[in-house]
Amino acid sequence: MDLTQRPYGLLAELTYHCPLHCPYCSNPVWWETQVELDTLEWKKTIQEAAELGVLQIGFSGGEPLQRKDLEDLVQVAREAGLYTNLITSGLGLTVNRAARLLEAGLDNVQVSFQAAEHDLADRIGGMPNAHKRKLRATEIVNRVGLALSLNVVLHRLNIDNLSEIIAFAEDLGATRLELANTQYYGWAYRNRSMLIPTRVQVEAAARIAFDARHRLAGRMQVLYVLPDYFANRPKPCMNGWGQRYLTVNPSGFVLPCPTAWEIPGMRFDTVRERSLVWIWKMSESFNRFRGTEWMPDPCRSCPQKEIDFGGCRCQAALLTGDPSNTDPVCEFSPHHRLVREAADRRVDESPIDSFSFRQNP
Amino acid sequence: MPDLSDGPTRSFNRPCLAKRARLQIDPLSGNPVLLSQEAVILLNRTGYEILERCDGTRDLAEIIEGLGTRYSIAKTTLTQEVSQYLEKLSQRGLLQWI
Repeated sequence: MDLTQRPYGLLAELTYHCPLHCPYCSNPVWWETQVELDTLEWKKTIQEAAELGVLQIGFSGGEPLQRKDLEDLVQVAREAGLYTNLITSGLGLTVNRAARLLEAGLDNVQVSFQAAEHDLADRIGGMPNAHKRKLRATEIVNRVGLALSLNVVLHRLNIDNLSEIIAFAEDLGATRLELANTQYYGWAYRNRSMLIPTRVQVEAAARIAFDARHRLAGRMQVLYVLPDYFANRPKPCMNGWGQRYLTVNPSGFVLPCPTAWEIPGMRFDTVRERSLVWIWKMSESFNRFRGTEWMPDPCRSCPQKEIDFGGCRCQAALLTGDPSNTDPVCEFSPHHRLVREAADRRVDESPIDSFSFRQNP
Repeated sequence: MPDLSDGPTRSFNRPCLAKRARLQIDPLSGNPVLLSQEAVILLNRTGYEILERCDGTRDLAEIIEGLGTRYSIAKTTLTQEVSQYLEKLSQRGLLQWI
């Protein structure tokens, strides 16, 4: 096996069921409920991932706590030597469950928050009292002795409270805080005009996050995911298609990135029919945008092509209709104005109720 | 698991890997790695030998003592390099002092 082309991370989307309705959910907008992988199928997938070189697994969803076999899967992953992270809303976490997860070898729990403030958080998540229950979940994580990290998705309605969000995460005892500007795919794309912050907001937030990162170094790791609509160069999405990461969705389809499901015309293979090794190495989907050979200009002749890998295929597909185009975030893309115009558009002040909230499968 | 509670035994001079970090041998390459959420740090042999000793029971001098017999460089240089290395990991929240 060529060590330069092994995956490091597997995102295991155990289920798309979730009690929340966040209007920026990264789950597919169009999803016909299919039979979820069962425990044995997941165990086999995790073991194959380890053989392929994966070192880290994120248990995600939907809400992964809705799967009763989560503890078993964590244990299998730990026995295979993987670093295990639970990516959760915190809803459904009890002391017993947390203790069992710790015993199974869980390395980290990442709890999502919608805001630092109760009322706004519950309105964004579309569920009364969710914020209070999340607070309770973080207490449980700390009490049983699991490592806690926080994730907050940023948008026009909460980005001005960034200082409060950072202080909130410190108070909760988080060792890591991921401040993720909304990425506009799927549900978030539907709600883009209401979610997108202004340039002034984005610049103020970047300063606050930068200061916090230095001030809190060693106590709480602060990560700030840049809002790429306000950038001139694309992000090195997934570190290149089929280079470092794979995602397995609830019915076993293997994707180079979690949002690739929504690229029109792509066909993906499932672990029910093929081994993970075959899919990683041989499948048409993983090879489609691997390397730099597939690139059209301006990427093909660009000195940055090994740095940003042409940006995000999902974004190119969504905004230009063709996944093999240069990511329109790039200033050299002939479609760059699509991004620029969305970023500089007049603020849409419709009330929160008019969001297109994520519906559950 | 070392006692992390504040108490008379706590002097903040013994490094210990943070709860969210894990030291491991990569089964594919046989090389040591330090794992944490969404990060894989590839270690060299020396890095591994240092971190292996960061279990909250030894202070810096004891860690150096343990390494000393294997490295032929001067003790002051070794101390300086090890403490810089540990400081870097502390800043990333992967190591704590208890």
